[in-house]
Amino acid sequence: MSAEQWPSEWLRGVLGVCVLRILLDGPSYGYALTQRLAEAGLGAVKGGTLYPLLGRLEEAGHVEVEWRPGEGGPGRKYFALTAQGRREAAELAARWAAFTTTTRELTDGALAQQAGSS
Amino acid sequence: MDHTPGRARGRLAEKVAGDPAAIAPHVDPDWREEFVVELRLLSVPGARIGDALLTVEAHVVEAGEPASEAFGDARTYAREIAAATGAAGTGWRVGAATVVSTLLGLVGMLVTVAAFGGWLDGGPVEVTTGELVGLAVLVLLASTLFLDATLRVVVEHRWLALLAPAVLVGVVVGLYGLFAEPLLTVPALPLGLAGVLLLVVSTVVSWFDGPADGDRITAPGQGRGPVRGVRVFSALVLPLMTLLLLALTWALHAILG
Repeated sequence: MSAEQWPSEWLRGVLGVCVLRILLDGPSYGYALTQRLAEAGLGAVKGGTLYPLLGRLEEAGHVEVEWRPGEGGPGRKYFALTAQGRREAAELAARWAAFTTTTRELTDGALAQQAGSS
Repeated sequence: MDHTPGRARGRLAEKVAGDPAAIAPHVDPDWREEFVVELRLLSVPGARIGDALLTVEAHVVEAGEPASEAFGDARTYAREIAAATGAAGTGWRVGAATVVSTLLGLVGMLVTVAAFGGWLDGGPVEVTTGELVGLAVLVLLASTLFLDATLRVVVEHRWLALLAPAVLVGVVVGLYGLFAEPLLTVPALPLGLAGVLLLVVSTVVSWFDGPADGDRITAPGQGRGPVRGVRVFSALVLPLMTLLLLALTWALHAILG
């Protein structure tokens, strides 16, 4: 399935746990995060969606922020997980797994019905 | 931050308020201005505005797409980012002290100039009904600046900010003309002293009300600049204007005899 087709309300729900997951690999900045999300198949996430989320993560103490100078450019705002953020990332990933298992137990029935009728 | 050519504003404005154009030269000027104005209306501190602006700049430079595409409507994004970072309402805002100091200063200025004119003429100052009513209208209108709603209306309808002062001056001059009969006379010296006292109180209140760091829009890591000068200047605006008007009154008096 093409990544551009995910309904935006699904993306809003899953974006937090995905961003936390990417930050587990190390500090990153806004544009790189959008690239990584696109590579993962989530489609083009806009800055207008991503930065408010990062702002909420910072406000909650899950990430720390550091401006690093860029070569000739305006510099980059790096986001790094705090210890609390790492715990949050692991916990949310586990809950997301449980959530998708639960939803699939229900929705997979639709696939089974479709397979049975064809 | 490197200085970029083609900035619309001069160095003085930059020193007083910070320079969004220097922080985010690749962001569309209209988008940038709407974004900054909305954040200011939300009382987001200058340093936080600079941070948010540089974040947009960094993103549009790297993504190669305009801010309106990457971030959507500037005002909506400003509200979202201010709410998300908890920065809304944490900066300096127009409060009761701002309004009181401005009103006291305005009244002090008018009273001092009127008293000086009377003193030059060697007699008491005649106060007309029109002058008192005009003063009341000014005070009443200026008080509404205390309300965020008024500020927002003025900012979102710029023609109002241009038109309103002209209409106001017309109304006040009209009132002066309509009710020109003297209501009472006041000796020049006590009136002048009262005016100066009002100006002093206004200046002191304004000094303590002003944002301590000037609340300029600064990029992360950017120095705060000549903050003290800004604060002194903003506290002394009305006394300086009064001095100017006194000089003008004196000059007119000398010329016209």
